[in-house]
Amino acid sequence: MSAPLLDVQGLRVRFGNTDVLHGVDFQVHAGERVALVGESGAGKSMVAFAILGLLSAPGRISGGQVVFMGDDLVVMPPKALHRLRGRRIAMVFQDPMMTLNPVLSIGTQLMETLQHPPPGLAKVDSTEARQRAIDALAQVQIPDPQSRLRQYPHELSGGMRQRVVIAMALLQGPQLIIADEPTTALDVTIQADIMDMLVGLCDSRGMALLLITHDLAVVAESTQRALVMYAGRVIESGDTAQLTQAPAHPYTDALLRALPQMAAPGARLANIGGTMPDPGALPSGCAFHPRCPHSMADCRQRMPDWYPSPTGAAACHLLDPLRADNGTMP
Amino acid sequence: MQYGRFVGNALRGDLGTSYFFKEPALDVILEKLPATIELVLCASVLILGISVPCGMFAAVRPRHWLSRSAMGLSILGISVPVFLTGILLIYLFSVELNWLPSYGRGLTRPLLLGWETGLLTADGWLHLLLPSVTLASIMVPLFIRLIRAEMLEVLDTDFVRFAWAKGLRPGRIWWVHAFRNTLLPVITVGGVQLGTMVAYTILTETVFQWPGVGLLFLEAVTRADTPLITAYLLVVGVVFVVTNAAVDLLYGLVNPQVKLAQVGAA
Amino acid sequence: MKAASSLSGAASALAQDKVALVSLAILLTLIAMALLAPWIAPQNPYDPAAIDVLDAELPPAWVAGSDMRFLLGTDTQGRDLLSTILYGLRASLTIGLGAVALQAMLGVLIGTFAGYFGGRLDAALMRLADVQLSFSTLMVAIVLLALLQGLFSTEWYHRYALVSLILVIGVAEWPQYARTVRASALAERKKEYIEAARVLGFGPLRIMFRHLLPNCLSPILVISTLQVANAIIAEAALSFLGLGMPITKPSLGALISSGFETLFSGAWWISALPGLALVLLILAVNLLGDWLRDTLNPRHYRG
Repeated sequence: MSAPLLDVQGLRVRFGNTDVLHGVDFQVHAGERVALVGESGAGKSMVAFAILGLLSAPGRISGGQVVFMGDDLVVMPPKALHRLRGRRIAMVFQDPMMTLNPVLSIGTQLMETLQHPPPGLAKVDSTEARQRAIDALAQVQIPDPQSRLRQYPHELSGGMRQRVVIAMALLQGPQLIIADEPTTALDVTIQADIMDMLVGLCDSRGMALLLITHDLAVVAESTQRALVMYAGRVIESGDTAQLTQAPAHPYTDALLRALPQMAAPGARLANIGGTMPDPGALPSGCAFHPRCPHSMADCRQRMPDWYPSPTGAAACHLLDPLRADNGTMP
Repeated sequence: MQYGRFVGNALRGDLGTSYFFKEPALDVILEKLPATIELVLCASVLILGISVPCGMFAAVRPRHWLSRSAMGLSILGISVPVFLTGILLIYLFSVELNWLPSYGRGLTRPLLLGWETGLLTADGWLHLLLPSVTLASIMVPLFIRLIRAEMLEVLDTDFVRFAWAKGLRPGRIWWVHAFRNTLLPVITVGGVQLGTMVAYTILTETVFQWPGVGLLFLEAVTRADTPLITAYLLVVGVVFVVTNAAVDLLYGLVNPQVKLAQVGAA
Repeated sequence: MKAASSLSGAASALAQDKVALVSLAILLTLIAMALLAPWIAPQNPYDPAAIDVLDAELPPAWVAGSDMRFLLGTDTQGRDLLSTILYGLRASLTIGLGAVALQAMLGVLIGTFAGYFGGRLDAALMRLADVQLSFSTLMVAIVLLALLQGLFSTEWYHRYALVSLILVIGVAEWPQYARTVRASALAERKKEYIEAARVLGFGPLRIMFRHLLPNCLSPILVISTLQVANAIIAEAALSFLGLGMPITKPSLGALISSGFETLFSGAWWISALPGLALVLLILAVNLLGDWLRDTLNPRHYRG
């Protein structure tokens, strides 16, 4: 297999004196769609912002590598990293209400990425920028793109705005799109439309997608591989289709049972008891053990190793082949 | 009865006759108004020219030593009363160094419709320098602090982070994305500060014997020249209303979410 | 956030902030000097018998031509400048604190009433606050004092200058307090313990002042500190314009004003030394106010 497009190794992020990511590893290959799944607070968005070097104030990368197309973004000079943003790696944020600048028109915000690049990169003249902006809006299925250029964000619906944001991400032909909960803030009825469109665009242009979401249903429909995160760590990874059918880790299983689509008709929806622990006060051993229905003495005492599972691999003591009662997860 | 007659006359532009000047009060005011307007304009240019770059820099590079000194100086700045700044500047540049004149407008030339301007002569500019620096000195620290605080808030928004993620030129992010949004609250506060600025012109004009309406008003107070005092307050009120309308209009131009029709009604 | 705990937290944080600590020390020293003025001042500047006009405009002790009796020199009237500054400090602080006490009283009263009763009373009072805020305090004070000066004799005006200044500066800025107090009164009045107090038959006044007010202590403290600085500046400006304290009982502003006339003949100290005292006072209050705001308000940016 060729070298991955993005290779994240042992990525650690620290906020002030608190570690929030404890060594995250994963790869995304060219054209591949990978999901990063977990409840809010698991550190998924942190991964996205760390890759782009856009962690806010007290947050910083405290270890690890983010190798993108052969270069480590962590040690790359800030100016060189900034030239990659939008051009090689684009990002779609969660809330389209907050992502667009309220005082600038849609056209301005689309065209400026082409017309005002960082020093050292070629500018595109306004006629061409305009044409490319119109094309990009058409690609995200916005009707009458020409007249939209003059409109302001507040004149568009949430779904329309997210389409505009995706158009901005496409505009410079990136190799990788990071989408942080791209449909969570939207009306349920249009979530699937937007997601389908995004997947279609990635497919047709051979772009890789790193989809960050809490919704396993979205993951099942739109990605090939999935990574499940809990309390700043990846705890299970594998093929999406298998992982969403027969998860190896109890946390993934619990996430799956909480989905309305996955529950048997008439059955009660399972809640995951408890909440994600505070990054400053992680439980001993496996961070999930206080909420885990299969918690054992080992879980409280030491971090589980990674074991191969039918779906891929997972970090759980239940999978330890040396355990007497191994592999008997109900 | 007397009040009714006054209002009637005022509507016709007759605000009575100044006891001291024996001339229509409005004429006396209008004659002195150019001096004050030139002073305020010059000070405003200084205020914007200094506080915008300083406030933005302090927000973009909060830990830089220049930002820290700017913030330290700004708290010193708001702690020195405007008349004291004037006195200090006069002592330094007029008494000790003898470089700059300490009072009056210097040589003026007629401009238009009886507007005597000091902006066309070198002497006029020399006279304008200390008073406008003084008047600006009290507003600059205020605006630096305001612009910095608002800018810091805007820099923390999703749309600025998204602008970074788009890979825009940093100057574009700061000046267009962040600054345009910082401007909105700054324009609002700027409008409120206009009233304070009027009071500060009285102080500045008194220190520098600047022959504008502020000095005229204070002299009218000591002479108990009631028609002149009334005329001044009315003119200030009109100026206030006009500039506030202009501020609202400006706000509407910067913020597309305000329809211009709304601005007109406000 | 409980007011008491945040205030005691502020006290322990104070020990770690050098700027705030020095500001507090300077402020306390200045206040002590003002309070003790009648005992520590070498001369009573209000006593015409103690003053000799022949001593006028003597420079401070470290300048050639000084008189050792007057450490900081003398002013235009022949008064000992040190004594006059001490008494001026006293006047400036009295007016500043008095005016802010008046503002706070008005503002807290109006704010609690508006917040507690809500409805039309609230709407009307807040509209009034907006109107009041749109006027510049200094401008309103100038006009009011000009009016007073025109209406009454100079002698009357001089006798009641202190009270007039407190009233004129004190009536203006109550909305600063009223808005803050109203907001927390609105938030609190829905809570259970207020309901309970009402059921127990406590009157609205008692509920407001026993239960609502303690919750807004820290914002009131922050506003007050910054307002004291503003009030002192306003008083100095008014006195400089000749609308405030008379030259026989000068505040720092009036003293600076009297020294301004002699600046050109080289007697810089009459303006400069009271000016220095004034700036030191305002700066200490402002630094302390900024620090208090940053400490008591969790949402802030540090430079």
